[in-house]
Amino acid sequence: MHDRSTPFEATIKWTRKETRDTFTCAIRISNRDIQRGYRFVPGQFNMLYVPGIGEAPISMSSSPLDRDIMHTVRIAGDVTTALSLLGAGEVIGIRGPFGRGWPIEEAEDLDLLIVAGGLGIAPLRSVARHFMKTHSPKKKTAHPRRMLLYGAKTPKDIVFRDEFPRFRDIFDVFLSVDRADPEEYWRGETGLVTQLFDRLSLDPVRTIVFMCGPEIMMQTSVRELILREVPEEKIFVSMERNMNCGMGICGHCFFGPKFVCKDGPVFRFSEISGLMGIKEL
Amino acid sequence: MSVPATARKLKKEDLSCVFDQLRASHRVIGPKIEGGVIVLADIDVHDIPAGFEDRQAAGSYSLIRSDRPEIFSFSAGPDSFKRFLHPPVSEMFTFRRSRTSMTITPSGREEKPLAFIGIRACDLSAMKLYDRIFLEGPVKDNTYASLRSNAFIIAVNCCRPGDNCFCSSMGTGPEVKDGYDIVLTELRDSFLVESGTVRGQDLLARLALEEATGIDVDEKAERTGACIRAMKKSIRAEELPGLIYRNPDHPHWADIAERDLECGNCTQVCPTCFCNATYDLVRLSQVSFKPPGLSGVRVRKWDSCFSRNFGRVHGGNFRPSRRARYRQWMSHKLAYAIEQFGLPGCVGCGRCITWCPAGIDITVEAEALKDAR
Amino acid sequence: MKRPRIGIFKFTSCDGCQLSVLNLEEELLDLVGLFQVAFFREATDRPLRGHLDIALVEGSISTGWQRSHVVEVRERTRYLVTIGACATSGGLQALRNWTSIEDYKKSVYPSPGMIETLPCSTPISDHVYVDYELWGCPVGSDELSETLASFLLDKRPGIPGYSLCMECKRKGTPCLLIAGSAPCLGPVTRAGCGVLCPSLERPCYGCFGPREGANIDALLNVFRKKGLSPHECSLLLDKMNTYSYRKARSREGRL
Ligand SMILES: Cc1cc2nc3c(=O)[nH]c(=O)nc-3n(C[C@H](O)[C@H](O)[C@H](O)COP(=O)(O)OP(=O)(O)OC[C@H]3O[C@@H](n4cnc5c(N)ncnc54)[C@H](O)[C@@H]3O)c2cc1C
Ligand code: SF4
Ligand code: SF4
Ligand code: SF4
Repeated sequence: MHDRSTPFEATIKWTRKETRDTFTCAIRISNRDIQRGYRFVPGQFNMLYVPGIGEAPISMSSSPLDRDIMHTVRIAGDVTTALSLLGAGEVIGIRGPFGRGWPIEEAEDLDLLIVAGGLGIAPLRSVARHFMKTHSPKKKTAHPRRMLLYGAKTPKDIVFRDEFPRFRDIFDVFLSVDRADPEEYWRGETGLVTQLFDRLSLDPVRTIVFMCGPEIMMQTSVRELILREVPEEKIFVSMERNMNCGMGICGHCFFGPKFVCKDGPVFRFSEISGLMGIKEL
Repeated sequence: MSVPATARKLKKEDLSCVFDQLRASHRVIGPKIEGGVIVLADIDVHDIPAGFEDRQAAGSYSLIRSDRPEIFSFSAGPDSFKRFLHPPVSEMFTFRRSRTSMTITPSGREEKPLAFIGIRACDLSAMKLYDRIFLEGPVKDNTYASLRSNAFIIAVNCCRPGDNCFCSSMGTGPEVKDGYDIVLTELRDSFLVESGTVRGQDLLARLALEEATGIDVDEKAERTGACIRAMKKSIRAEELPGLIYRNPDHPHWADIAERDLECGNCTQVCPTCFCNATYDLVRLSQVSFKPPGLSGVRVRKWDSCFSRNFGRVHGGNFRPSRRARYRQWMSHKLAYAIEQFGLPGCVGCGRCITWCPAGIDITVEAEALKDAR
Repeated sequence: MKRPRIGIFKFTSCDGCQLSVLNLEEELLDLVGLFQVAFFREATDRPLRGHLDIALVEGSISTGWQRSHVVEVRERTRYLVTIGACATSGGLQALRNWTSIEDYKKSVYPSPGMIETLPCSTPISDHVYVDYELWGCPVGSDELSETLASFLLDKRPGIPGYSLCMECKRKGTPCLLIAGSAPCLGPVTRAGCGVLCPSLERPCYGCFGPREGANIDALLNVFRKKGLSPHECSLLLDKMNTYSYRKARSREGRL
């Protein structure tokens, strides 16, 4: 296993603009041996490093079966801005993979409901691509069902908008935006993502939920799901905290007794339900 | 009482022989007086502040020369092994970047392994916690691993508690149980020495020792017993995790926040606090335009959950209030650590009490937490 | 790439912080190589023209002319960084804010009528938006160097927001407040000086100013218990950062 406190080099293969403030970049690890030893599962993250600027935890948005490792990044501050200025052929540092990802195997035979808000779709695209690679589109069966609920601020903020048609091959897709500009052509729903739950008919016994988005959205969504009798044990959420080391030694990501970096970022909701409502934890 | 197989006796004046044995191969770290305080530093045998006693209270510390005959007559100062195994400021690597290439060179560590002399039971418990954090997690930390792997540990059983100690109620002291190469118990006219590892045994084999008797072993038990009886502070170690988990909104958190200076001293002196922050240091002289490039070092420093930036992310701070920051500290020490590492996050050393300028006493504050009725 | 244009300005101050710029020594050459020095009274008498990428501003605002000039500097500048206690917090001269300026004038100058001055000395941030504030009396050369490098790299400078105690403990300096019972302002003061005073066994007197959220009253209560009078306590705060400490104190109560 390679050393995970020192970044190793990766080359940017290509970058692509997703929305006004979000882009995807594909990278390939330069060292062959490290590249071969590098294995991740959807939901895990890398620490992307721009020497001189710093590191940021970013989830993989590609499937482990994809040739390159992809990251979808929103410009938020120093590191993400610096990343956005780099282009194909330039190099960055990466450390990883870190954290606990989505329980893909547990989801294979169950009805999978993906709930994503905003950029929360990034680590879930990894799951979607996994299913797209491992299941042929014709097999969109009654069971197991796969559903994708996605909410964005406006139609312009929908990340991976041009990939949704392909998601529909495998998933029943439900889209909603908080508000749509009247000038824009938008024939989907408007309003909070939570109201999409009414459109689903869930079989609580055989449903598993993967969720990632703003904390407040996840809280209300979980409430909706529990009302529909989906057990807490079958709901998985991906949490976000400040992160510095990514490997459980710096303390910045504490969420009560949990280290988001190593116990998460993906948690079974039943593990953290007691912590969820506590202010300023 | 029966005599343990490894137990021997070392004459007090022969303590220097232990130093002689270690000096060539190790950097010997131990207690020493600096600026009126017992700190840990590179020492020789005569640096040990024999015959000094510390007077500690919440937010106060002083040293007096006492007429006690012991060499290890004092208790813990602000420093612990953590200053050496998890250095307050360390360089992780240097980097150099141009448009199409980057090099990262991990920084070298010091050559000589460390030998700690005079580590107490509480700090050994803390070291065990550190091993869980830095070595036994999903990923091990190189800096700690390289400093820890060859460290030689000479522990000392406490015969007199510090004024703020409460290790006995945390179950972490005062008697050293494991994690040492050699442990010393100071008796009336000699040290009872026991080895805990093969390395320790080897070292003892090179010293002039006497046979230990049942009387010596009895005296050891008597002295640790006296230490437990003399301990003034205690904490409800069993009940507290539950109380803390159940009371995140207890009014007492706000009461503490009024007095709390948020200075972070408690976290810096605590031997179990491990939080740290890394950043890239680039100076003006390390930037160039022609050709475009830069170099610098990645530095790691002790951080604290009392720092404002600790919980800061894009769009806000997870713990904006002082109340929440104090709650994080106490909850982590007394509740979370057990869940995280299966070991107490507080080892009862009392450092945070002594070195808190506001005199905030974790045992007193914890006592004030009660379930609402 | 075009070298960014830098201007270095001075209002009411002792010049000590500009000296810190000159004290960059070898790095001063790097500064001149990496930046185009567009305005620096201390070194050239080129007048202020055009736009600046970064302005380092020393000194507090204490005259009417300065009040309008700082607005002009701001309008011409992309990033405005204050350097030192005067620019960041009003300086020692802000002590006059707590008395009557007329009395001062009469006691110091033979013809007080000639003196044109505002009744208060105030930090730059009371007048215009400030991007970053470097504290200290004077600012540290290391911090300056890092801040200028950060500007070139387009990242936030790593100005510490935590207490001086943190730096003290990292350095292993014996605590003067606890082991020496000295009224040290470390707990409420920003780190950054490199523990200059405490390592010389002098209690911190706050030249890096109050840190964010400083609980000043709680510290003064500690000093009161050590026997200081309320007057002695407030004298501790009334130095080069008097304006900021008093302001931070009145904001107290926020937990
Ligand atoms: C497990 C995990 C997975 C993630 N996955 C993704 C992903 O797939 N895609 C993605 O885009 N993001 C992801 N994030 C979020 C991402 O890590 C952050 O957006 C990123 O770290 C921001 O880094 P930065 O250096 O660009 O911003 P920073 O420079 O760190 O700052 C971001 C903002 O925080 C504020 N701030 C921070 N520090 C200070 C300070 N000292 N003083 C004042 N303000 C401050 C500023 O307002 C700044 O704009 C993930 C986070 C986690 C924890
Ligand atoms: S508890 Fe005491 S030492 Fe800790 S931050 Fe608060 S005032 Fe400082
Ligand atoms: S919390 Fe206080 S008493 Fe407990 S180990 Fe830390 S410093 Fe010692
Ligand atoms: S979170 Fe706070 S209490 Fe816990 S180890 Fe870090 S600094 Fe110490």
